Amino acid sequence: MRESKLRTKFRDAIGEEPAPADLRMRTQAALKRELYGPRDRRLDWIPAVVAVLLGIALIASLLAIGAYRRAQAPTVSSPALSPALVYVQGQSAWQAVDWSGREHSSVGSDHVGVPYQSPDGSRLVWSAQGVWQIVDSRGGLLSSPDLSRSRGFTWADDSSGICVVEVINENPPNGGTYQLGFYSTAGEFRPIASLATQKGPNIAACSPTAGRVVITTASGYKDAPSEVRRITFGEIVIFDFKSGALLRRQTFAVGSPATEVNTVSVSHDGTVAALRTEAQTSIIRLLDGKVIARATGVTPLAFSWDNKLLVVEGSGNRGEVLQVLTGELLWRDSTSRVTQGAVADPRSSAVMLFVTSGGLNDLLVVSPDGSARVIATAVFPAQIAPCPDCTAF
Amino acid sequence: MIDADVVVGDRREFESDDFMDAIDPVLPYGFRLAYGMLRNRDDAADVVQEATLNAWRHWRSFRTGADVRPWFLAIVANQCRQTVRQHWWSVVRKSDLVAQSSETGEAPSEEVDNLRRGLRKLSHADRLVLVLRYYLDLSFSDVAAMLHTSPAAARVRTHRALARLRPIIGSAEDLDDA
Repeated sequence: MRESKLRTKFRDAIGEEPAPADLRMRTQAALKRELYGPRDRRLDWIPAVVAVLLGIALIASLLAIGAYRRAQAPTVSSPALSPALVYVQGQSAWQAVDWSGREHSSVGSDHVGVPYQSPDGSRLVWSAQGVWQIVDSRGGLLSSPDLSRSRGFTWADDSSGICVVEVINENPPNGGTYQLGFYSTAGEFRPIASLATQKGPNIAACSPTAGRVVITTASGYKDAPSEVRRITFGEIVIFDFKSGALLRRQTFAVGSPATEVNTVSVSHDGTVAALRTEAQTSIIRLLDGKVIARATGVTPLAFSWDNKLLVVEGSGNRGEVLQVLTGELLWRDSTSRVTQGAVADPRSSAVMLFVTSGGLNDLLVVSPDGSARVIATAVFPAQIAPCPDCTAF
Repeated sequence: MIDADVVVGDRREFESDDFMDAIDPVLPYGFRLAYGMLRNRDDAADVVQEATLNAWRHWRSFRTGADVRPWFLAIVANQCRQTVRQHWWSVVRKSDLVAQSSETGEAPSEEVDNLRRGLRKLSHADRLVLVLRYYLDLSFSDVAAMLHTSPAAARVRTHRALARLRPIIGSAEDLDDA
């Protein structure tokens, strides 16, 4: 029997049944219920009971751990959950200020170097006399992660720990193999994935909440005519935070300065990224690389926490805030100040710009309504944002 | 300055819209496969709905740029197997009786009836490969993509399934696609 006859027989046996007209509507409704509401299932009580039991077990564990910690390290205190804090160097300590400029606690200055704070300022990681420590907002020791093999680390966007790239084998400038892992603030290490790269890897975003870790690889070289050090990004790699599965790997063209990606800014949750070439800046959706928007003549600095605003450095190195939603310019610095960096407020849609007129930084907060105000002047801030090209080689 | 063509809003809603746009064109294929496997309209619609939710839960791990259809059909096929497992198949359900009695007014020919019963007796894997090939009219390449195997292996599996069907329906000479 020929295939066509066989097909006819199968159609006769099974019958022709057109898909219900409301199939799409039904599946969409089911998806909405999945996204926004409880599902009506007879066995839904099972996860609820499991969650309650796990909750009880978790609370008991936390109580036990808390009692143990209090006994072992009385200086450890609970994190300041609200408002978000930014640390600036004071006379003898690092002073925390919130996003309205109000001063909070300070942390002793017996630590060496500039602290790297978590997005909400509830935790800091720094090196005290050569030993890396994670401390809370009052300086209480939480853990001492072993960062001796670390090539770079970035705070998790929920301040629960740091994502770390550890060196397995490295042969600069020819790349190497690395292990990506996560240190919780309690000091527990969990390997996530391993990767091999041709350029130096850095963690551009570490998001337990979105379940993603975004790695950028970059190399640096000195441009002979201008004596300027240039950065070239090689790729963006996205891993699943929990399973370590490779979600996406996007490689950029290298070899021509005109088309190379020279600046990358990634949103805290690894959803979107802004990539700058000489010609333009493209805002892309990371999971599929689709271009959302394009801009010219600007260098991306930071996305707001809700990804609706993008801080850029415009002409004359002056700060600008663009609305990704509408493509409009929300705010532009009308003074001659230079913008050196920016961070997002994890509690709102506001963004903070580090501006200078030649000396230390002023902290300038731009709200989603376009209003701007300086909350601190002539300060030296801690490291707050991830650094996608810090260890380029 | 910026030419925005996509709104960056709530992440999950944003991704779910994308997801539905990608899944929408393959929903009819999903339903046809589910109906071919289960021969029950309501069950098939339920399976597609459940498969869509499963697909959404794994959407972030879907490799961008890959073909959605074989990926989604594989989820539907798996959901069909789950559905069969959930049912107590020794009991003839009322809805089955209604569905069977509401089929075409004419009694099926002996040949069609044999084939229908034969398909019901096949294993899930054998029935799946035959439904994909002869009811959904998929090429061996498409069948292979769905079963995560090579086109040659898909062809072999199809022929083996046909060979197992022959003795069940007692019509050796009628089932040969050579």
